[in-house]
Amino acid sequence: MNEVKEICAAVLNAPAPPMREVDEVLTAARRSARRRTWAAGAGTGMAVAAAAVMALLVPALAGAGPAPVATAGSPGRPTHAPPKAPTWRQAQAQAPRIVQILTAAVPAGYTVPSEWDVVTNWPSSADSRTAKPTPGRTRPGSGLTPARPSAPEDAKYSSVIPLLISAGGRQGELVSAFNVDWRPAPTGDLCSAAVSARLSGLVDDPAVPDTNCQVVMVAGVPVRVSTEHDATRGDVMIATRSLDGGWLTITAQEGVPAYHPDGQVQAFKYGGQTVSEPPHHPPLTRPIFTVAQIAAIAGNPGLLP
Amino acid sequence: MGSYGRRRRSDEDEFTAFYAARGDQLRGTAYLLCGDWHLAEDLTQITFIKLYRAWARVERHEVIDQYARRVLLRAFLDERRRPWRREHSTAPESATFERVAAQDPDTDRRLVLHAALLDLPKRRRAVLVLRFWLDLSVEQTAEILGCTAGTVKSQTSDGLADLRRALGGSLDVDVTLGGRT
Repeated sequence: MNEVKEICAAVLNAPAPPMREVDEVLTAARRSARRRTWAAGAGTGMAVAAAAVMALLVPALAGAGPAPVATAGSPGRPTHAPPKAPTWRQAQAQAPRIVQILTAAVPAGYTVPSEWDVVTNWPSSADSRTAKPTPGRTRPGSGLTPARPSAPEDAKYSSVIPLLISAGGRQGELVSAFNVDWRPAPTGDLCSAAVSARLSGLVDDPAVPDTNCQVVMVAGVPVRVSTEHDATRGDVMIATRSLDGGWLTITAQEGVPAYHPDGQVQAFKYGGQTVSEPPHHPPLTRPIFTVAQIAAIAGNPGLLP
Repeated sequence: MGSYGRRRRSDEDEFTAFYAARGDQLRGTAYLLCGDWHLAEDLTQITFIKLYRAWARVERHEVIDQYARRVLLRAFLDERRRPWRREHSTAPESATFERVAAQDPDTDRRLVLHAALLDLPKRRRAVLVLRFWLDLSVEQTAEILGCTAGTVKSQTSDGLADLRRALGGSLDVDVTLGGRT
């Protein structure tokens, strides 16, 4: 049917914007691959501690009030309706506060290297055309890309804030992410297959595990905590809180995947600047948090606008 | 899982070479499907992000073209995979459409053709683009769309009929704005 081909050719005979640079596509691909490893994958290895009822206080920020208490063992009935998910602008405005809370929650003995402190100025989306790193503060490949300035307030988005966590020359990672799809919060068990499937859709991965999963109550808020393990990231804990319209996920992993394990630091263009990826460090030797601690972080109301 | 940190440099070299060789073609296909260069860019990027993830697992790179098309089509058809997107098709009578068309007869014709293409239901549009623009067989098209060959044939027939109807009874590429009613 040559006529259809001619129609297509005529349509494509339009002036087209320039293709994205391959460096930009490669950066986005690396970033996405990395983000995928944060949030997905069938886990093996580390067993979740038995659901002992315990109370832990996460270090609280000055002025933030005490962090919520995490208790485990309940299937998790919320004591109140989940709060509404933030819009991407609200998430953007909340980013510095989230960095504060995450940094304060890191246990003694760990540091957040200042040279790679990450503050997101934008929520992320798949659109990286207008990505601009904040000089000196944004780590390339960190998954930070802005939504389009014209994105509506009800735009679906992911906003990711990764922090490198160091101890003794080793490095792990702590990541906060809003994944907002504006769907109602689930009413059932957060470890159910349905919730796993829904999270899987958000992170675009078919294998978000519902094994190694438990629900921890944090001041009446159910938080799903799942764990996994792989050779690159070591033990990984993922604490997810459901919102009315999305999810807040806190991920702590012992190791940071190296894009170039041969040790050669690669420079590439990102947002019009030539930057180098941070040097790679061996993984931490133990998990950054306990299950209750990471649940308490995810349940901290201070993370929400 | 966990393989990203061990990605070989040669894989990335191959990946970037594939982007240089096929990126523009895939973007053009995406544009035919969605009618928006920005969205076409994003669909192309989604496709290459997924290709990147799968690259080390694809042993037979001769099938990568088909794999890439499948990823692109799935990204286009699956609203959930691009939740930050909304299609805003331009109605033929819109001021934007007429303003452009009045300035350039070629643009006028192109917009009419594209509007006719975009009027088709998404899957019929996809079938026509795959079969007649990319010259794929019924079987290849069915594999990409995850349907039967019979469905592809019926969608092809229906799509062609729709397209003819949208262009005033023929598939003449020399159609003008006034000829499309």
